[in-house]
Amino acid sequence: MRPALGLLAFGIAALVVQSVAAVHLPAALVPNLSLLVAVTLGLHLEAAGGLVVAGALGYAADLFSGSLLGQHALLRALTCAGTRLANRGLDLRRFLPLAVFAALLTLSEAAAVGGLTQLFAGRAVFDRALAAVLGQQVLVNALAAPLVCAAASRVVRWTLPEESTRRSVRLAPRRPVI
Amino acid sequence: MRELLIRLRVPILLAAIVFATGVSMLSDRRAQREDGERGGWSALLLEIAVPVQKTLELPLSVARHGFSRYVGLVELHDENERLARRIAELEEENLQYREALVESGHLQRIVEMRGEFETPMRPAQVVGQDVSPWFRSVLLDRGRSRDVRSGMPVVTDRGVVGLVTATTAHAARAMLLLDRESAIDAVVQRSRARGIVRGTGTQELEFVFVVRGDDVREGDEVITSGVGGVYPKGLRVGTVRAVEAGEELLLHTARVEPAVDFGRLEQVFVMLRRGPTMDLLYSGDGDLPAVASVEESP
Repeated sequence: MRPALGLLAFGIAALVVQSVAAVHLPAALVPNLSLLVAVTLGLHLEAAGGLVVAGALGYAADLFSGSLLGQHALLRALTCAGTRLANRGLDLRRFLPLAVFAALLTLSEAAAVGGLTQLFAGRAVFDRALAAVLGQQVLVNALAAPLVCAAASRVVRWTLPEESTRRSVRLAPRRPVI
Repeated sequence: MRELLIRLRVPILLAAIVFATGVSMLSDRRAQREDGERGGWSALLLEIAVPVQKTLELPLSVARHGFSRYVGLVELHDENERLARRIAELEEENLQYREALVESGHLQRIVEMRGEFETPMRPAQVVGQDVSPWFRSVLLDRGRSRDVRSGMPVVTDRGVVGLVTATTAHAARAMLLLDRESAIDAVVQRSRARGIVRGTGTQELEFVFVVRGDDVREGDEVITSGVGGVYPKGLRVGTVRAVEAGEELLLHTARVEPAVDFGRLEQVFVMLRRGPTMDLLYSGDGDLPAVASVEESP
């Protein structure tokens, strides 16, 4: 419970930082922190808790965005679920797989945002001009993903009770001496 | 049965989230059409976020202003002397104009006209940008408590910024002119060629106009036409940067550079008026207070 709350607070703080950073930097150069936090939720929390926190975080992202209320909530929950599935086959705690996964996720999210906006609001989000923005976003998110994941790991470690952070030592059964 | 539910809790939860968010998107779309006011949890979260964002924004803003001021100091002395000379010239010129107007009795008429047409404006600070790069909106630190309502135009001294689309008691979200959903009826100031200025999602705008000879040229100023009842007439929208022949014979497109620098948007003004179209679109949040009472409030 504590790691979930800790990551929720971390995610909301990341949203506020992202929103303020976008005032001072070009939009394409600001990493999509809420998306990357949703990835860390899939890596650090158990399935149900991760989905709930990701949904809540996405809902908060919808308030800071011109998107429809619920659009980011759906996408963050799917991101969290997708991360859990991908983590079964790939070791997403390592730099390269995580960076590649974040890049693919950015592309998928852009497609999903376009599809949902078209479906619910009847307007197109993307054209050729936004393709360049998307390319920069892919790169920025891929580079930022390992950093966000490392920060989230720290948050999880801080919030876990002390006993659970101790490593359990597995003792090999004593072999019979002949 | 209970074991089955426990085993399937994750797929059930995911399905519930998909369903809930789908309903939320549909109802939000309807709310946007009827009334952009936020309530409940969403309002609470925005109310908390705005002061936090203002606090976070402060050191960044101070650093940026500090740097630009330092750079500006280099040429400040010369600039100061030049401006002092210019002010003296203008003051003299102004005195002559005033004298002439008072003499002809026009000044009183101008004062009356200002009282009749001037729209009260509420200054607001931009405390956050859209967290999604695919939408273009900003978060403002003024809301319903300061008479800001959905459908009100947002401007700066340079020109049109956008439109308020959602409000809480102390915050408002404004859709920028750059958003793909944004569209303004506009005219070219020189030739009066009329068309629609649309957001493209990038830093550029698109002006779609009906071809009548060589009506639109590079460098032309584009202003609001007042038609459509959203923005008042005569506000600057941008400058034509390039004219492109469209595929259709009657319609051409021009690329327009916005008058407002959206990358450096900090202070804006919400015009405390809603055009007739917006009043019809947004229903149910009551009449605006009289101009006098708006100006009196802090």
